Amino acid sequence: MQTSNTENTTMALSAGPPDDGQEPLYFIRLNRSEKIQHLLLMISFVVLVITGFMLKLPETIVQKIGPVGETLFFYRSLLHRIAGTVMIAVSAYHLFYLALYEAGRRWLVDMLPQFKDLKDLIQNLMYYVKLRDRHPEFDRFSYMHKMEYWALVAGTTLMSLSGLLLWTEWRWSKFVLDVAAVVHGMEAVLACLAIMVWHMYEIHLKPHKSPMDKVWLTGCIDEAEMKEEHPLHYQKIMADSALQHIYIVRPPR
Amino acid sequence: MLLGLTVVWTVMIWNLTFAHLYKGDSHEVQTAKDPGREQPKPVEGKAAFQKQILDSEKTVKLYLGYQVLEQKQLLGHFHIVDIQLKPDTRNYCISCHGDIPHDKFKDLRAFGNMHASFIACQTCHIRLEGDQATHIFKWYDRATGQIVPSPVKDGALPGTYNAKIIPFERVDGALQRIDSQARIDFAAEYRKQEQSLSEVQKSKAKKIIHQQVSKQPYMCESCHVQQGSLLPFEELGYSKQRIDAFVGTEVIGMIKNYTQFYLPHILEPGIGSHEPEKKVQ
Amino acid sequence: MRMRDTRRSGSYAAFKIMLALLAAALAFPLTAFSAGGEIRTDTENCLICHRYPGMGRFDEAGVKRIYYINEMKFANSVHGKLKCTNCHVGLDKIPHTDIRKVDCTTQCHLKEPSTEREFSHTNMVEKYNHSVHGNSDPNNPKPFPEDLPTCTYCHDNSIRSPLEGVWGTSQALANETLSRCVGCHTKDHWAQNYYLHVTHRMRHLRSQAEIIKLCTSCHEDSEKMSRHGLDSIATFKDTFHWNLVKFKVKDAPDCISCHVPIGFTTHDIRPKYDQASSVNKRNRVNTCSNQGGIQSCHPGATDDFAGGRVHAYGTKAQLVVDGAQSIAVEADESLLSERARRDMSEREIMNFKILSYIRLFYKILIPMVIGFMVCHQTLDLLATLRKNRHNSH
Repeated sequence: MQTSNTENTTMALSAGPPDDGQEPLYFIRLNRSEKIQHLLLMISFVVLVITGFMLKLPETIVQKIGPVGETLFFYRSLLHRIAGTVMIAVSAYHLFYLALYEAGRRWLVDMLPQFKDLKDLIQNLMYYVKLRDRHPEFDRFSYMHKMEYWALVAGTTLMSLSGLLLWTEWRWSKFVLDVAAVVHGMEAVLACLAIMVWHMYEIHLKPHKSPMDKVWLTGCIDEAEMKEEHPLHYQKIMADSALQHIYIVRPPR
Repeated sequence: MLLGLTVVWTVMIWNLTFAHLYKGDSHEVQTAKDPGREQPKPVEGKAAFQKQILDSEKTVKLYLGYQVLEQKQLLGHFHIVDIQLKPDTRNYCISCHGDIPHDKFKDLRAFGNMHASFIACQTCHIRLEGDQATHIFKWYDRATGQIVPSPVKDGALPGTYNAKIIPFERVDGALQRIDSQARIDFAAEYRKQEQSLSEVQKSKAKKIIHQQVSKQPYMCESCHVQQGSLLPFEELGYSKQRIDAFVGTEVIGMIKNYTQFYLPHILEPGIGSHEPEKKVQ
Repeated sequence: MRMRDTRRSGSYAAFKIMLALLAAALAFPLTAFSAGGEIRTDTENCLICHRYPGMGRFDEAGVKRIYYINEMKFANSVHGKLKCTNCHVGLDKIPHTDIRKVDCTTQCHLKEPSTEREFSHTNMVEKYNHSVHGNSDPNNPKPFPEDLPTCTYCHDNSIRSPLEGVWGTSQALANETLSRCVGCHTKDHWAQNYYLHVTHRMRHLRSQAEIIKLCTSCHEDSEKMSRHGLDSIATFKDTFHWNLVKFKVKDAPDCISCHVPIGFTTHDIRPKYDQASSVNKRNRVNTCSNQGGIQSCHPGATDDFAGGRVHAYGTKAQLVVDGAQSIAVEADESLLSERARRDMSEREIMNFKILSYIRLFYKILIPMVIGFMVCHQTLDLLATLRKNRHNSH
């Protein structure tokens, strides 16, 4: 159990400005609330994907399941709706969090797309194809994080709305339901593929993160990684003691 | 393993999204239930063979409530046909000619096929003369080929015998069944090697296989007579009642009428100009 | 089962009665499927030849024709009480050269108890001929009448079987009910026949998937359908209704649920323009909510909800959008294009276009986005490997 740094004004005992540098420093990437939000989102996403795509199973495979099919279908429907509710609840809480908590507001500000991100994208691609010998320096959130975050926001909004429309089908005209069904289905494909191709790579397949990036559990990364991946943020933190209180944490004793 | 799962999932979703673009309409069109309406078109080629022969047999599932019956689709069938006889694996005639072989003579073919379900081909088509004739007939089981006690005596209903009648011949003084292992093996060997034989060899082999087959098979009145019937009914296990039934007026009378009033050439099929009757609707 | 009028003492009589009832109850499953000997209706002894399975031949087209009748199955079928010649008329000669094709409107010489007249299927056939599957209007005959299904296309000689496992019933229930009937209706088998006659209708012999298979054997054949100016309903399999059937959910909707709901008959399916059709706009809300049936599917259905298309948009919509001129107008196709223009309203076409655009948008967006992601991550991987190699040197 690592000590965590809470986000309101009370400071944890172990927080503080960096020492003489003997002890390794850890920088917080996700605080506790954010970790829980991510965890719930992740679980509900996986459940939704599995129960959702079950509908697309071809007949030949479903036939093999036999009479269990009906019970399976019932629980599939139930789980999908439960998980959907969880996801909508988490999203609603997140909006609440962004507005009312200081850390949330900081998150929102840091996530807003800027012109720098476009420059970073181009420079990074140039670095990949060996046209530059160094990758650009990122702040707390790189263009990759921002892209993924805003895609998530858009995707979740669409899925939630279309999902709710489908859930309350008797209220709407068939055309509305048809549109909701198409959007729900295709957005699901997009979201699923995006998660698999992008997110799974970022946390599982990137060579130095393999087998798994543990940030979602620990919430922190070490100093070396911070300097490598988020140097601008690192500099900002080191220059400001208030930020140090928020973002630095000692390893557990 | 996670990587593997991810790949599988990605491929599946890709297919779901885009497969219909390059695979065309993937919904299986199930063709109509009525194969009889299509006359086989004289189209050659492997594809035609695949389509018209290999793919043409459709099975039909009949939900009887207490049983789900899956049977090969029969043209225009209304009555539920639940044939529970096992296929005859021993008879080597069937391996080439099939078990509903009679086809040419309209008047006889249905009756012939009817008897073929419980009488082996050799019984009627091979006339044993002189020394060879033994007048001994026994039942053999369709599935195993072994000689079995009479199913009639065991109380099986007509039409449900899982056995057939086979004649015995005398060879060098010893009794043996006419479908001896030697003959079966010979026929099997022929079928296996047919592709690689020359015309002369094929002809010779076929002559040998059909050596015993008589030009004129036993006809109805050889068995359906009061006295001197070909088949020993009592030994075959038929009760007095049954024997009376099929040598009685009902059957013999029918045969006589059949041959005398409608089809005088019935005893000599193929000889003389035998004009086929108008096709039944 | 005879109830013996016993003059013995009450308790002994009661014992005998109970024994008799027990015997009746035990005998029920056996007698339900007794051999042809007991329920023999074949007074002309057709079965002397037709009870052999080999009875048959291969015809000129190589199709197997079987003339075999399974005695037990026939005796327990819905036509089990009939003689062969009631349906197969013209059987005076052997071989049966004078036989006529079976006509379902033949009178069977069985008295129908409600009208006391000889029974025949004529009234159903009349209805059928006026329905969407029939061809009764001499002034306006349907094209390609050989495509239309005949009686035996859907019906076979179904076997009546004991009502069991359907809607909470069991063999035990059947036994108890029957033992109360045989008290008065003492003739052998009569009570059973009557009971089965009624309970046979309490079930669907075909499962939902089987019904869909039967209907789609014609209705998914695009060539056949376009000859008659209809869409292929392969698009049904794109709907959520099909998902229920696929997973074998009880009371899942099949073709019959919507096209033949309560109060309608399968033999009188009408086109959707006909006010008597269950899928006519007027009747839709009733059909979707299915009040009074086993399961009320959409009890809260509004006119808006019920007014939409259930089968997803198919060829007709595409034809109108593409403009029928671009499709090669063959003799068969023109009926479909004609009907397409008639059947698709402006609003429906607009809806179809919007849905197509949404789909198109996603079909472009997804490959672009995912393509970009794949490239980006591959490059990242290569760059990282390059860096690692560089660092290790």
